[in-house]
Amino acid sequence: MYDDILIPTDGSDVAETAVDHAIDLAETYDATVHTLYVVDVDALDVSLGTEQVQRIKQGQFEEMNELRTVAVEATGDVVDRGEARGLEVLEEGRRRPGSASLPAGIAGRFKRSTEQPRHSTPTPDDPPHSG
Amino acid sequence: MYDDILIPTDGSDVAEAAIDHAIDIAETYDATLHALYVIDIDAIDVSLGTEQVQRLREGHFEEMDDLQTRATEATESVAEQAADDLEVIEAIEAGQPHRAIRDYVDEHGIDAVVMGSAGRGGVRRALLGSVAERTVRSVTAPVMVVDAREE
Repeated sequence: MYDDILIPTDGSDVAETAVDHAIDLAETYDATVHTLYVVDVDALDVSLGTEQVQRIKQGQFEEMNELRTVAVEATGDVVDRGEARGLEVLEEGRRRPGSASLPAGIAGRFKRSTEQPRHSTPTPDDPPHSG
Repeated sequence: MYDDILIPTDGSDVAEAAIDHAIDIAETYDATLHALYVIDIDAIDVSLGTEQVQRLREGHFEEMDDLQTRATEATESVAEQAADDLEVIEAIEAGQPHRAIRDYVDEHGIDAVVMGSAGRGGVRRALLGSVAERTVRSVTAPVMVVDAREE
């Protein structure tokens, strides 16, 4: 009944609470886990310049190392925990957030995003995050 | 992870839309499925006398045939759709739906709730809210909300 399960995470304890459930469901249903970090454009507006916000809206997070670190740590944790249980986990952490003014929800953002999912397999030489 | 799954139902199409999901999860996890009908006391206050409302609050539905029939039909519908090897417990409570659901979850050790929602948006949501939304806020167990919006 469930082939693809989405676990949105910002790396907070609140988000982490749901990871156990998502992973258990995915394992039980033999489903693929998608983990998504959404860069909240509204929350960033104040501290960033227009140009940077514009870049984020276009999905260009490459040069923003802090932002990337937070996102990759959040989704990387889900990857670690999922793959420890033998699950396929797709990281969707570098996707373009939807238009902030539309309450389209995560599913909407998910559908609108343009990049292909990246299948991440952590290796000893290249851990997805240090935490 | 889930031994007891609750599906609250009022017999409406919106509630029925969640039955497939609740049954599938209960079967997959080899769990017991609880089907709960809540007699919404606020919604019937107007048409009933004080004495009858009091009786409902105390859980005496025996002589109220209409209510009893409606409630039983709703919970039986869940039991009928489930496979024979799935244990289904039918329950009827009275109160405010989200509170009665919360109390049932606490009292029966429910591990997850699966329920339908009409997916109200905009003004209707602001005015009415939804039982599903209130349940999500009141219950500490995970709640899966099945969108039963008509396309």
